[in-house]
Amino acid sequence: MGNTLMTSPAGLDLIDGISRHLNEPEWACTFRREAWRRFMETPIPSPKHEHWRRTDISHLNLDSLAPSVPGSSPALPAWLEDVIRGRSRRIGGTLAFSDGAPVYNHIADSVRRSGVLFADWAEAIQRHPDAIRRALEGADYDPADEKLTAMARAYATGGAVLIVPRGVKVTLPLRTFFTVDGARAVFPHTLVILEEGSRVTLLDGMLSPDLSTPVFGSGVADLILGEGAELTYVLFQQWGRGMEYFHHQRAVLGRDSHLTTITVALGASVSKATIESVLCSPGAVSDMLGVVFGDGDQHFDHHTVQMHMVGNTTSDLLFKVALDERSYSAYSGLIRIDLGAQRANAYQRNENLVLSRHAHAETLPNLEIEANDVRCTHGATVAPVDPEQIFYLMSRGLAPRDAKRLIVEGFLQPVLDRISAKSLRDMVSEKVDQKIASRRL
Amino acid sequence: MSQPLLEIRDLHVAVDGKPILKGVNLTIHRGEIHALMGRNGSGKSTLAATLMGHPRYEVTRGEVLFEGQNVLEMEVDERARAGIFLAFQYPVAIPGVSVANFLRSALKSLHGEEMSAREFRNALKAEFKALHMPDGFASRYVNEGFSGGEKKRLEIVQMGMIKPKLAILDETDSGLDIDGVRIVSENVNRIASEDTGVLVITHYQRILRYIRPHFVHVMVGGRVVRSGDESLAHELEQRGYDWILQEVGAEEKTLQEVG
Repeated sequence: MGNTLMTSPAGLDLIDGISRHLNEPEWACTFRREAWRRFMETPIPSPKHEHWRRTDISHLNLDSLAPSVPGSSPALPAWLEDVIRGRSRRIGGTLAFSDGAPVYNHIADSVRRSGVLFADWAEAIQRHPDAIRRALEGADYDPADEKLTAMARAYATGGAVLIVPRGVKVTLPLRTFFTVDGARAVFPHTLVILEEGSRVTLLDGMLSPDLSTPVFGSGVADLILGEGAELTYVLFQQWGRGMEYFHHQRAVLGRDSHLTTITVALGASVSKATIESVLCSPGAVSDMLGVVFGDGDQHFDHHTVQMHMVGNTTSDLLFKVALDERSYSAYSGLIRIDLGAQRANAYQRNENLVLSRHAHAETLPNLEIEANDVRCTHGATVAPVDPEQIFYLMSRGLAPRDAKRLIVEGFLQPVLDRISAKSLRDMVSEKVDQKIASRRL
Repeated sequence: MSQPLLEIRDLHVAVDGKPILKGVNLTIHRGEIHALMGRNGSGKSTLAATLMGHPRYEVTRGEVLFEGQNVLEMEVDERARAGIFLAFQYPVAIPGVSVANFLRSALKSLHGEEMSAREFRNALKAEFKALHMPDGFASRYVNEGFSGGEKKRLEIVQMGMIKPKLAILDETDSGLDIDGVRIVSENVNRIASEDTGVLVITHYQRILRYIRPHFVHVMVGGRVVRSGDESLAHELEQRGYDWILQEVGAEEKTLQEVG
């Protein structure tokens, strides 16, 4: 694509260059510089750290990685155009980014007219600087992920911003797609702000073909739900092999708001994500769902956090993992209920279906509960396919491979069924089924 | 006489190394209804599972021919494609897989060609209606959260969609109330054509009032020890199994003395 890539260590000049290119106000540039300082000052996580015990990145030379120089102008890759146009019916808007630059946008008139802002970073920061500033200033750095999230915040060039005004209910789902097309590193950033009583569904897609040279990615998603807001957020990860991708998603839930997050992880060689819901006002409800399907040598590491800071809040979680061949998945989930967060309800369930003798699943629930009047349950299973199910299906004529495929699809389906927007559900289900069908099983 | 549909010769089967079937002989022709009766543990369900090819059941001796073909060399799905159907005593749940999706996949595997979506929907609807089940079951996950009776009815819905050459009903009557037994039986009679072979496995005579067998066999200790017509079932109903056990015991004793 004719990008010039940075090969030397990035400096403040690069940070300022990105900020200038995006025409950012000074506070945004200051914010970037601060992120960059934290990135430089924080050591690369050690595999001795609990959070990094299962995914060792100490070999990565992060200082040598930087975004594509702003000003390069990538085009929309043809395959991505097919993805976008393949299922464009009943979609309210789509933004696409390649190598960190916006390459496509289309927003339905009905969505535009309702006052929704759905735009790339440069446009959004011109139109809604105050809202974005408030959101960024409220963004915390999780100490365990600080190195990589600071890197993402410093280097994010493209990035999508969605702001839904008070009371607006967007019926058609929105989509963003991030891809790489020659860059060595990618830093997706998604910021979603739902004002009071608004409602929207967003699919955040991270995808590419298989990559002939390794690519590094670090992404951040900030989700902010105002009072009574309802957000369905689908993180759809189907990076090609060759990608090592790290993601930190943090949702802050206001009073009586309702968040549903659906994490779908199919791709990348290595992917590690922290998915966090912070329930900081009464009445907030967080439903976290996840689907992972691994094959080959894929490595997945998901960490979820259900953080109850106040009482009368509810969180539920269901993470389903199916693993074939030599793939690996670690799931660790923290339920934290602060002192004084009485009458909080928190549930967590992780199920692993292991399809091959060489695949391996780990599950690590963790509860930190300081309040005494709470309801909290958690459970986890790791099991192979039930031979009685195979026998039953085969007795109806299904070949062993088809029987297994049906069982895996069925295992994952209840999570996919929770994507209420049919156009998105069909797209995601199709991708999942395609990956299952491509296996010999 | 024409070639039998199913021929079981001197079948010996072990589970985890323990012999369960000890020389079963049974022949079923097209259009015949056979009842296999016996107490718990006599080996009836072992025979059913073995005919379908459950991997836990090890055939140590004997042979099974279906339309002249050696069934024991066939995989489970090949047996299904050959026309053998087993209505399970304990059907398993397949979470996340709808009844409609499951049956579509099954029919595609069995017959190769695909039915049109509409034809399929209508056929399934008709089967549900016949079994007095709401259509809504089509979109429910297979057997998940079904009552015992609903599971048994769904087995017969499947039989109706699949239309096998040989239907083995493994205690389909257990878990059904009187109406359930009648509805299920009427449907088995409807689905079974004059070419279908049916093997009804049961403890009780109840279901045989509706599905009237041409032959009744009694299994004891892993072997068929008595065969007769419908009247044998009535006799069992009246007198229980003990008299057969005694007779068989006496015969074995005589055999041993002679041998």
